[in-house]
Amino acid sequence: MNKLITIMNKVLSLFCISLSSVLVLCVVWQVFSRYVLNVPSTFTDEIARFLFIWVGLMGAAYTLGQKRHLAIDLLAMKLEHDAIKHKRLKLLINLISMVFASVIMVYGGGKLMLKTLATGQISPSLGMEMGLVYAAIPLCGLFMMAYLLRDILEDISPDINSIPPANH
Amino acid sequence: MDWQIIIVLFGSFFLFLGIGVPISFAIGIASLLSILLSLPFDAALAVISQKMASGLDSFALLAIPFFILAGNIMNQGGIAIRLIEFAKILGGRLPGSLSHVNILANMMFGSISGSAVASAAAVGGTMAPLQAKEGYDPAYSAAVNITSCPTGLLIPPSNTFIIYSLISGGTSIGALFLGGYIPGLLMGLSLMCVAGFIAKRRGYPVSPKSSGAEILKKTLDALPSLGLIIVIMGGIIGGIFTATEASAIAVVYTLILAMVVYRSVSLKQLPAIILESVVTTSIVLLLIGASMGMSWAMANADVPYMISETLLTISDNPIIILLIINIILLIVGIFMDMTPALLIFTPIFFPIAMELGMDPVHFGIMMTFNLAIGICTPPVGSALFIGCSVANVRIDKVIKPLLPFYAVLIVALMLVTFIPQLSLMLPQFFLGY
Repeated sequence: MNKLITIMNKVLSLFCISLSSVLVLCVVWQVFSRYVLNVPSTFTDEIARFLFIWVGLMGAAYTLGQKRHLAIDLLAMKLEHDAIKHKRLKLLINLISMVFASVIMVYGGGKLMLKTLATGQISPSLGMEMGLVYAAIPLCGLFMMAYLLRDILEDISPDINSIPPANH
Repeated sequence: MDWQIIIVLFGSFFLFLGIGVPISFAIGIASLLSILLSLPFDAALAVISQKMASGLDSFALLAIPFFILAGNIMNQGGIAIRLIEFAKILGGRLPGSLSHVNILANMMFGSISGSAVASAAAVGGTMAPLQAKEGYDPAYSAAVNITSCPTGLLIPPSNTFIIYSLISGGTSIGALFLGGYIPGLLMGLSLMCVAGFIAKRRGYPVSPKSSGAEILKKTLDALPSLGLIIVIMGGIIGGIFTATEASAIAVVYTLILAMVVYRSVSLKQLPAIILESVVTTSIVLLLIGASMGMSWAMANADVPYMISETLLTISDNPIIILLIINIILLIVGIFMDMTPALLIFTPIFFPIAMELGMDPVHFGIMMTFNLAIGICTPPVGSALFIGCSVANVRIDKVIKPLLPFYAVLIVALMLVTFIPQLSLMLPQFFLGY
């Protein structure tokens, strides 16, 4: 499990870093082509939007792995001194998060992807299958589920220090 | 209107929030549960995922990761110290000089970095020891830093305005950016008034006068950093590029500045900076995606209509209604971070404000100003937390020194709320808004 998480962290971060760089180049090219080359580029707008959806959603999964999503942690802070209750609370939070990742992202997003692929909707200027763009949603959900599984296993393991926490 | 739907939506949302579920997940599941009351399972999910996908597919949103990346590059680049030196020239002769320097530096750094938290850390971290050395009460210095760091959320470029533009249905980003200047400056100046008054009473020192050569050198040092603002705002006002394009240019500008001119960032550091920006971006992005579903769920349950009806039965006086909206937002801001609060409450209050004949730009600036106060308040305030931690002061110690600053911020908020010209003057003049 830990090995899988390490690989996921590597792959996701590498993916996000390289695509972000392409994203910047894309929009800079758009300005450059319009002002310097006088040929407004028609496709960079779409590429940038689609890349952004992918970077953002893969980043969202990575961020979950780093436990960096915004939450109100007043209750957790209150329970900090009580290790057992604290662990139970974390388990509850992770189970609820699992519902989001599995039902909304994987199942809901997956259906959206399949439906869009079936109707064959394509983007106006690149002719890109929109279903492939939306595939980022269920994929993000799958990665989130893997991270949450790690956290849940950690929460239910009897030994508090059995699995090291994610690096912050 | 259907009470059952509303109770499920907000009941489950606040329950999840209270437990500590990540806010975007809480929004998503609460929306799903409430939509399930009126639609079958698959249809409800289809609505949520469709709203999420279409909410994320926007060229305007792209400005957010770019401004965050540009801000992060600037943060690494020793910009803070240069801006602090420049702020010393601007505010160095006022009573309690270092407080004014802190506020002015936050206004400049916050504008460039676009992040209140980054600003509080960078500027406050440098200023706290300097102030302690000159005998300032650390809790007081922390209070100054905490309340002044959100000025950069109003002074453009500001991601908050981009998010508002999106959720309010396409309010002009250029107009919001320009409109933020006067309220942002007002925020900073009103804090400086209180700081000056307190410093005079406590006899905090005035810094010695700097020589002409020093002034020139420090100004020249700060110019390249401030030049970024000129490029972005000039480009947007002049209609040369859109906000998104401006943000990409900002990334290139800061890269050249940090890697070639200041030589403070190396190629090796770049991947880590980009990854950090991706994390910040994706937190916001997931919130936006989930909020799109919630916005639909609220409209489905007639929430905006119901709240506006309720408000209108209390009073049909716009002044009273705006006061009530402000009070609700101040309370929301106490418990919720800025972005989620903006995403959830804009769809609720925006229609009411429009019915009162308020300008969308003015309303957005009012909301941002209001929620900016919220990030300085306990128990949940990102600016408060970071401000206390860089100054090494306990949160309960800083509450009392914060009170006069809260008071003046609320006065300034009232001015921004009831004098639309403060927000609209610049967009009207420069953009013919």
